[in-house]
Amino acid sequence: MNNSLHYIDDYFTGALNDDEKKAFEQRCLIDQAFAKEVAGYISIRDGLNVHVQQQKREEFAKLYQELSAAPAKPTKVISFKRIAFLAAACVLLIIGWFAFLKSPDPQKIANKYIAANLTTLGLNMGEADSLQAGISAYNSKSYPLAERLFMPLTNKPGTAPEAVKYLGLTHLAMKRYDEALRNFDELSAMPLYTNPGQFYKALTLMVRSQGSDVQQAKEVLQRIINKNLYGNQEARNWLKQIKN
Amino acid sequence: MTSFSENLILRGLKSGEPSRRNFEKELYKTFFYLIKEAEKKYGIPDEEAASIYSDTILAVIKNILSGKFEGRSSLKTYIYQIFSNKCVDLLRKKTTNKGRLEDTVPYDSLVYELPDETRNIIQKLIAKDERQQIIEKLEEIGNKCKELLLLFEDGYNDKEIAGYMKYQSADVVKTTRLRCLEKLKLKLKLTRTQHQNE
Repeated sequence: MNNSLHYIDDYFTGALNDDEKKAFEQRCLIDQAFAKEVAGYISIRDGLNVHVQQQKREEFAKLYQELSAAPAKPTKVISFKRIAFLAAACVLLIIGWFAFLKSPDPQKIANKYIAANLTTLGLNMGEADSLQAGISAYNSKSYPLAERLFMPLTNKPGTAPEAVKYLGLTHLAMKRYDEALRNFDELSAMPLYTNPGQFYKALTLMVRSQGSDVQQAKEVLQRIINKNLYGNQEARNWLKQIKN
Repeated sequence: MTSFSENLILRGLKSGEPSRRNFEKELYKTFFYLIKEAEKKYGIPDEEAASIYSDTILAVIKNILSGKFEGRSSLKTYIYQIFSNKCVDLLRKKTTNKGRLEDTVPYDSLVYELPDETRNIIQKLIAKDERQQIIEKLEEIGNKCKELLLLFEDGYNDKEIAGYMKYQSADVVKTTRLRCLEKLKLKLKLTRTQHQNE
């Protein structure tokens, strides 16, 4: 077996003393091959850890459903205050029921999400300068410029996934829906840790809302929920609203 | 001060037994009411609050297992504090109108255990697009290997795994675990080579 794997594992399991730890850290700085081994070890262990955490989240989600569905304990004495409260709740319920019958427009839901989450993109540390420039252009609503900046980066291995994602969002903002959908399909096909491609695809279909778009969006949202993909929380909420 | 039921949960979580999962669920159930409080106090919808609550419980379990939770406050206070911070973080994110673009390195990555200078070097070398492949390849290295790697990642140490999986000693577990890791690494390498040749 590879000896350095033992050494790397010792570092991350706390089996090395202070001097050995320092030597390990120094070696990462000067020995490129060793640094790559360390990066590979971290990458795999992070991947496994995310998987374990995801399994637990799924278990908790089941527990949440069970606990939320549990009937409330009956109260022994119903006071006047409680009766008044219940009456008020009934009135609100009736009003709510009528409001509920009118199902919300998928386009409005999507636009609300975009306004709240995608009008300003975060400038992430460590990303390539040209990506940062594209994001700045996007944030200042200079979409044609953002498109020009993102486009060449979509073919570079280091920046491709981020650039395709940003390019899709730029096309969405420019109302060039076909191109945005193509971008998000391309993004979906990339093997990423968490891939927002399908979620943004559903979002785009909801914004466009033409022909069979809403039906397609529903199918994509359902897929996101089933496979527990990026945005499954929103997908669940939206699907509930649209179905009503 | 921790209450009797909190003590039971803490003991169960630290036991290193496979029954730990039950105590994790018990912990989740015990403070479940916080989800409703998030709705009342911060106006966060139920489902979002539930997601924050899950993250809180996972973080607390991790801190208990790693010894970061020292028992200076009650478990209830500790959980409430972490949960409240996460709620406020969410509200802040919403009000600053920042897009929720996912990080390529998980926030609790091992890379953060390295000092700054070393971390910068390593972070650049970490393959950003491998997570899905890791999960796929995990199915190809055999059930025993898979179970061993996942138990270790779940916070069980080699000694605990030895007891649970009937290995002779912690050293044997470590050697086997690293062999499994090597196997997974080779599978990933093979896939990468295939992709490059296509």
